[in-house]
Amino acid sequence: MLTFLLKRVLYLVPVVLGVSVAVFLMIHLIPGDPAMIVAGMEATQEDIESVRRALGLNEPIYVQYFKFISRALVGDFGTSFRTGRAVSAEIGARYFNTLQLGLTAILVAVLFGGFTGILSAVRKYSVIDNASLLASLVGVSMPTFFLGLVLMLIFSVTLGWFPLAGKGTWLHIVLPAITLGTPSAAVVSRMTRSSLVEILDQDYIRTARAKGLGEFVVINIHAIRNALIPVVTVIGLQLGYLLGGAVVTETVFAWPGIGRLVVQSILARDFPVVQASVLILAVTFVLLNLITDLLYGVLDPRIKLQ
Amino acid sequence: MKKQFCLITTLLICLLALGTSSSLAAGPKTGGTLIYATGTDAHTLDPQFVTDVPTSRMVMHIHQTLVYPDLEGNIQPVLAESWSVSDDKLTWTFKLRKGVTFHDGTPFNAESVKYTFDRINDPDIGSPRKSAAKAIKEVKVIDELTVSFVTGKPFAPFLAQLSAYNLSIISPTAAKKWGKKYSEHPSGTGPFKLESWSPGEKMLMARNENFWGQKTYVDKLEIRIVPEDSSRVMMLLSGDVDVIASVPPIMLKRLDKSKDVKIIKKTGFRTIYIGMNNKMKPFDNPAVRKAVAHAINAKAIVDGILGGVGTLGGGFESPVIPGAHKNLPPREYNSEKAKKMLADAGYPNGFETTFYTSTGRYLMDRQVAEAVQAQLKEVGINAKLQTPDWGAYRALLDKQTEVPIFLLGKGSPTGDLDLTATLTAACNAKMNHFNYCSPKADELINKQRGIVDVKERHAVLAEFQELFYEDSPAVVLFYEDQIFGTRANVNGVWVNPNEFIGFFNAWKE
Repeated sequence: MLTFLLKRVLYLVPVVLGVSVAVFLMIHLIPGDPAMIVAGMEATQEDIESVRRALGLNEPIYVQYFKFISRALVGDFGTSFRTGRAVSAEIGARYFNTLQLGLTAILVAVLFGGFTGILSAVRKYSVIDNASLLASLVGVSMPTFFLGLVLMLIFSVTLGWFPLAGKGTWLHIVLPAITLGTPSAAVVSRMTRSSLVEILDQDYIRTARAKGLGEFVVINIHAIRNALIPVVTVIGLQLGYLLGGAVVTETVFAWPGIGRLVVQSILARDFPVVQASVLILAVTFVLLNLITDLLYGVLDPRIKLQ
Repeated sequence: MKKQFCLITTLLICLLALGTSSSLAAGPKTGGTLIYATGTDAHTLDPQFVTDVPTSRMVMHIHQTLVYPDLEGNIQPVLAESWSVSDDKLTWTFKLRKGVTFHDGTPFNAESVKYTFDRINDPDIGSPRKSAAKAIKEVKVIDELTVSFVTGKPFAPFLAQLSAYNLSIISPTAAKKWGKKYSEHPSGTGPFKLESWSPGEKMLMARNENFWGQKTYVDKLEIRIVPEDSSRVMMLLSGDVDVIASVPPIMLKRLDKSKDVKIIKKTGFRTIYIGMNNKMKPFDNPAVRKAVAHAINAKAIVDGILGGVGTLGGGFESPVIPGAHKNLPPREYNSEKAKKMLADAGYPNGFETTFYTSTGRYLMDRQVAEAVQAQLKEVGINAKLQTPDWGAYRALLDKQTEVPIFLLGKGSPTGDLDLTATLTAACNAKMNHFNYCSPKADELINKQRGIVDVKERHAVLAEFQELFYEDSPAVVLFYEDQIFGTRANVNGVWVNPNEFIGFFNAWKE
């Protein structure tokens, strides 16, 4: 177990190095000069040259990469081209905001998706099953910004239950979490249903029923645990996707998260912020996968982690 | 020696008060927090690092310049009380306002002015806008409250240049203490001081109780960053915020219907135009450029896409900028004439070209470009639309050989024609993406810079603008209107055509 953990954590090294090189090359090779963007529209050539020197962009690309990675290894990601603030300060709070939003959204997804999924599996081909299928289809295909605006219009403007946008009390997170979690809830719901339907056909379930156990116990104690393994995989992947893909939700609800920061930084060619954000998201993704793998062992003791 | 005395020291504020005449009977009410929602956060609060309009709006609540334009674009005293220029037009001497202190308690004086200008030129600070102070050769402290600026050559736009946000006066104590981190601890002389700032989320400012002029009516100003246009509109309708920036035209009707909100609409300094590269075929032919002008129906675009938001015109400079030529009409929309002109120029069947546009930089820019593309097609010009992101777009434009025809906007940070003429029309200038080069135009631009007399100078500038219009490297589509929305109980919001919105004298009923 310990060697497994150690090995997996060591995997991080090539992943981080690979991601750093890929991101560095990508962002440096796309057209667009950060100095020109920082200097702004009404800048002279001298202004742009002075910015280029100040940002260290006049050095060859491999020197820039070496400087970046050697500093990053000791936790110094440099300063943002755009704002002049330390990248760690720029990213720090926003990363946790996104994590908070992503985790709440996944909670929404698990609660809604899990509940409707189990219900559909138990009442296969019933009205409930069909209704949940329809709801999943709608949930997965509705554009996030549209769902967000509709929720806002109903629950904030008309009913006044939740604040419109921004970050503050726990009430602020409800609508963005539902908006962000809905497509994942749909996926979780379908996955839970198909996985549970398959399990319910197995011999050991028939045995459990035959020995007179109530349906509630059969489903919730015997069946669900085995049915959860594919669902956990999906949740792990969805969470990764939610962290990187929350841009639209963050924009609509003015949630100060990392997704919006990355997009803004790419558009502004703010290299240090883009590199650091992508690195941190990559590490988070790897760690999430590790947690998923560990959960397999908890759910099904037959799975040995080596 | 020409002396200019300004008796009304707070003219700016009087003008503001007049603007709110309807509610003046009861008098402005003091207290409360005004909440302003805008799409983008400030990049910095260090005036010497500001390069865009949204950032400048926040910086200029905390800082002030020596002089600033009023709503008509006339320069008014702010931190300077009066000024004079020497007979050789090389030395400008300013008498500074007495009894002003920075937010950190440091007294404002000639030394702090000198320090500010030394700092912007300091290579270790690395300001991206050194050019703002380029005309100044030397800053001399004459006495505690008198300061002189020496320019290398007579520089007529000097006063307008001093009003640039980059040249706001900062506290030497704070600047020395914080260095490059001044942005997080700004200390100006403005009516508001920074209280807290969570980047990307919100900024809180409080009344400067030691302000030298009319103190702000509201206790606090909260600026919230809400990137999505529709979200901002909903927040205004529900009363979550008091003022919102950049109302999308499509939402105007909805806001008009509400009794709870007011719309502020004002023609601004920004020109949205179609530019053509004068060194690339077929736009090297002036007749082709004029044909393009006749092919474009700008009125249909403003009415159809922008819901009437935008002012039409033909001159490259917005008519609200002092010295802008007001009698250059848009070229008549006439596709038959355009076709004939193209045929005469050797393109009876039109031609193929690539048309570049920004997306999301200016109001509905992509939709406007698509309309232009369709209008060009009617006269046989087959333009393929390219929509690179802003960074890539600017890199392409900068090469001067890649972009034959393009949509772009041009603002005027100082409200003086010199800056934009020098940047966009002089041969090989940085923003001259037209590749326009006319020795006559260059001569006129250089000449006006040395004429300190306003009338005489504007006559030369008018001649230059006529020449530029005749050579038509650009087709003006419209001058951007600035649209803000406020709650009905908000008064005294100040919108300057230079794209600044001020809450110094705003109050809530």
